[in-house]
Amino acid sequence: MDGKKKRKQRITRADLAVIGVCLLAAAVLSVWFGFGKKEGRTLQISWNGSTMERLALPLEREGRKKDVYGPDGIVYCLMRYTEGGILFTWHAQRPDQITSTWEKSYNLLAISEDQVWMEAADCRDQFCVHHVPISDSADPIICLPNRLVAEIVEAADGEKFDGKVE
Amino acid sequence: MRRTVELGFLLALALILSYVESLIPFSFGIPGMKLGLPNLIVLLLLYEEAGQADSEDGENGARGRGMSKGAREALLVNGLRIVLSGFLFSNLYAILYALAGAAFSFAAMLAGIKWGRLSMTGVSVLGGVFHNIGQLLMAMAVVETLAVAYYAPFLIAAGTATGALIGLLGTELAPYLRRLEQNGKRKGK
Repeated sequence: MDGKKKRKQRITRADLAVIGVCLLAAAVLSVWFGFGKKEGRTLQISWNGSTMERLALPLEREGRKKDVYGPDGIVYCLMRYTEGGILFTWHAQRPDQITSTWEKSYNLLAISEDQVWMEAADCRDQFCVHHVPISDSADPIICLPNRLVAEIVEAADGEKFDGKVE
Repeated sequence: MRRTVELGFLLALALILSYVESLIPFSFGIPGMKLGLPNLIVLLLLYEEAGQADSEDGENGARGRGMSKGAREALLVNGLRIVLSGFLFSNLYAILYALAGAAFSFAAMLAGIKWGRLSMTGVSVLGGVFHNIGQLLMAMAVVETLAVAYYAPFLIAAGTATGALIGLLGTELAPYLRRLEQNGKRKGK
């Protein structure tokens, strides 16, 4: 073939500079977010950009945790999405048997006394389900397909839980 | 006409790469993280013309006014690839994210090439990083939350790594594509 055109592109100094700047930006951002992390006591659930629930952790009703948490020390928050709306129900046990009646899309959030995690979701990628349990503000659980964000915020003005646990 | 066939061929190749990518679980729990295999085709198209223009000046008369021919072809092939692969392998939202990522990535790569001091690897790194930034901004807009920004450091680092990988791969592959074309031209005449 034509050997004179075989000029392979070598990695230039500018390439290394670009790589360096990108990695530096990533490092700076992660340190910045790391410092911003606060131990939080309020669980905030937002959907479509608006806050739906803002609850003080651990959840308790009139000072009694027993009334809220199930036998495993977990309370499940089932969020179902219906036409243009979101429906919250609270369960002391993982609501398995009602799977068949769940609407098209849902998120099932599990809340223990100090941790929050996504137990199940209908979406395809399951990123929110694989997310590690959260206990501080650094690391929100986000479900992009259902536009749901569950995060623990620093603010101490969370409301008392007043939902009905089924 | 011949060029149309070639672009169709590359589009098919890009679609296959999209499919391969959808099969590889590569995200490590970070939403939106991908290898970026289809960007290989975009890179090759962007660079193919640059290489040709060196050797056969004047054939690609579009140089100098607006976007180069290679850039327009890359844009066309990638746009079609995203819409097709979106409908085939995922959903409308995925198309939205991919389009935002592709737009940012493409602009960054064009700027990188214009700068003139980067090799294909550096340009690909810019593409990878800005693809992820574009997707992240789209996610912020869709979910209406800044919380998504938490993923920014991971996505920038991941974009750098995958971009470098694709860039090195492209550097190796570009000469073969060029040779294929020249063979084709010889036979076609």
